[in-house]
Amino acid sequence: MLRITNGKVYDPKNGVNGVVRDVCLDGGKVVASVPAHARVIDASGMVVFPGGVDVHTHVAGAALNFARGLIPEQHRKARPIYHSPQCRAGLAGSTPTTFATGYVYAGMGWTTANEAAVPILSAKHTHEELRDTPIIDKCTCVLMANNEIILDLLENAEFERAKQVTAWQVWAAKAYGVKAVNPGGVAGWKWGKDCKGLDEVVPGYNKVTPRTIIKALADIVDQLALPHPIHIHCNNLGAPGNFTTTLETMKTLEGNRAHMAHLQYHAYGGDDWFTMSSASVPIAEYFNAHPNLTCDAGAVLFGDTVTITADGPWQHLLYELTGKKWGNLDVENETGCGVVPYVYKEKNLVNAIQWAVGLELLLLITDPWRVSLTTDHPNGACFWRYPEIVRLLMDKDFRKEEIKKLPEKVLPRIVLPELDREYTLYEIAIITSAGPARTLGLPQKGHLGIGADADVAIFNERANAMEMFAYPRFVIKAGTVIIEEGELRNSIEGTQFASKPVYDETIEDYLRPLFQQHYTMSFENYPVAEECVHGLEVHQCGACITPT
Amino acid sequence: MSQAFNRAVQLHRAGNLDQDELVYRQLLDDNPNHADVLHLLGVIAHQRGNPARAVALIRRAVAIDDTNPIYHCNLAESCRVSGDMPEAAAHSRKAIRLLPHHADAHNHLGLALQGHGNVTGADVVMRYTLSYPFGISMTRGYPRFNPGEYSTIDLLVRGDNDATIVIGADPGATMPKPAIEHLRRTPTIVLDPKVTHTSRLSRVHFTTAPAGISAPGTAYRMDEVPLPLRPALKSPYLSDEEVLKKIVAAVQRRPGWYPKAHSGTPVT
Repeated sequence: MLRITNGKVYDPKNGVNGVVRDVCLDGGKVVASVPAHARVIDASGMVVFPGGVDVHTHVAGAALNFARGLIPEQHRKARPIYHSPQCRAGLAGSTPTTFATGYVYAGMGWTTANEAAVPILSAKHTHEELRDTPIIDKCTCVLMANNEIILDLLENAEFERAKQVTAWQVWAAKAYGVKAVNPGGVAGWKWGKDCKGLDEVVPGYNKVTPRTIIKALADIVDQLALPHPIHIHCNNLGAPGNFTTTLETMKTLEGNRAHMAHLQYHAYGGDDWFTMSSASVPIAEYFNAHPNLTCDAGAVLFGDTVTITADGPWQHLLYELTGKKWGNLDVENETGCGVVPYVYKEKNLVNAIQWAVGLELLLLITDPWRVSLTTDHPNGACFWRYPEIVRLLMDKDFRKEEIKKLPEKVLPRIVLPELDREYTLYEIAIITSAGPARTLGLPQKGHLGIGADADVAIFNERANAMEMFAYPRFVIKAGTVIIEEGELRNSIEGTQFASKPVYDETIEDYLRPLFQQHYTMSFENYPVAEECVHGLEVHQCGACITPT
Repeated sequence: MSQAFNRAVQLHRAGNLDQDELVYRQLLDDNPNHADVLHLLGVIAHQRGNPARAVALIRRAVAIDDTNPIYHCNLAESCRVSGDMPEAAAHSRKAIRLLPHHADAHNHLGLALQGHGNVTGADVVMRYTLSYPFGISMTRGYPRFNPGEYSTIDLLVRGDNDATIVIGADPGATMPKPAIEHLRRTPTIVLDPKVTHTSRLSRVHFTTAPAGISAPGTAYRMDEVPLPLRPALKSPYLSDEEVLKKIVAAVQRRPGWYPKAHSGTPVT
């Protein structure tokens, strides 16, 4: 039992904007009151936030672990997590180890994270890593937009069966949502090709196009009543002039719920690398007018990192651009993956535009509830650098100083210097917690109303937002005090959320023979067993919604 | 010819190796390229404890007829006994390709690949818990990586470590002599379903339940695809994991040795 008293509470879901009031916690939940003998945390001079929620991050699984193996030289420079009675040893850095991931997220006041790209074939691996990721609650999105069983069904216009297969696969992977990465493009990569436009036929097929896949999967996710909408990484990521593809994708999704992942990477104008410019204005204008959409920023910060994505063809291009290391993974009939270590440089024209576009989108999108703070960790920057972005959003003078460091020829290509908006603490609480919790469909997260999970972050109120949000004074997860006086004092296990959509069990009779023919493992070994998912909490989806 | 051959096979089955070999030799004089006879002479050599001769004979049989899974299967076994594991694995695989449900061939492949646990799985887990696949030093309280300095053989040869726990491996069979000597000299604990070369020089051997047969878990295929292990049999022994947990619990019952805060008293 715990009473947090005298703190300025920011709880946007319940409309609480910096009001000094008590927050009471008991049994892992927020409650109306606790007895007088409960422990009291005096939060005078501090602000009280609901625990942070990361809507899009890559913290576990085969691809990330492949990247870990590729960059020992980065680990050497990484911040060590020392072995102690509370902590398992590890390293932070660009691909934090599993235990470090839990400690570092909690150490910033973030208590929930969505691992955004999981192939079914290696879902068991992801869940094993998540089991070793302490403190935070976790959920996952399963990669579907290049799954050849689904693509074959869409080629033959068998939508109903594709829906059943998707439902079966979400549950087989013990996933929470459905992710689409470069729909059709990754399947095309297996032929050494890509799909840049929405109406290009997917290589190896005669009819199916990215547009067919996007629309079908969005319909499937909506009809299966999954709590999180289709989580989409658009075609043509990272390329100059790709904003038209992104607009087309958003238009295709009219009438559906959809989450546009790392929108920064999809908002570029120009014709080539030399004429590239920001296209955040047309993207934000369209986005603002369409409340069916949510997004996360995928902001970029300058420095070392490693890029990891299922978007195999893009990673090959990035490798050709950088001439650095490159790793490519083939995930049988499901997806691909590429890994390229990368440095974002302030003086590089393209990188400077990327940095600006991430911030521009966060500032131009008017409804903070629909844009979440992310860096597409570790692609744009590591998640532990979020406080730097918070400062850039809250302090326009600081932002203008930073803009001065960019090459001069960048300035006419970006709109950031003209934007004077400054985020308030209330809005920061929305984009880091209340908004992403709503986007993920987790009603118990992202707020401090009665019945909410007792996940709370308490920060010293300081003028420098980066310092304020980098080192919370207290962090409470499920009612347990994890960080106290800025120190990690406790480590607990987190929960893992999975969705169970309603489907017809006989779909297995269809899948089994296909599977035996095309996969290298037996059908029985494919689904992740419930008992293999640590701390599993199942969201039972409602009955399938049939369109009228 | 075939009558004599049948008689020889009967004698072979009855275990009369001397007479049998005589008949085979006569048959070979008549037809030096009789693959079956070469193969069976090889089998006799193997039974007599001369696997090198068996390998030579059965190789000749395989050179004449490459499509007989039994030849490959027996050649694999002779290769394994004479210590040529890569060849043993290769011929087992050929036998399996020719006759996918040949239990003996699968068994021989398993034997040829034995001596290692799930190496890929160890790589995967070390990477996600500690960033690096192997060659990790934790002496400063966080992982550092330097193959050639912190890898097992180097530690053992330098004599850096005070004690060794061996799981899923048999270093006593494969490592250089100075490394083995250090294992023998210092406390070595082996966890293994079988008694290995390392067990014989260790202070303690725990017989554990074999993973995948009677202990559950996950194995990572060499392409890092995870596979669930569902035990088919019950074992009277604990799994590696259970034994390790008991060791950790026993160690934790001892007073901790984290450095205490500086007391202010000068060190004398």
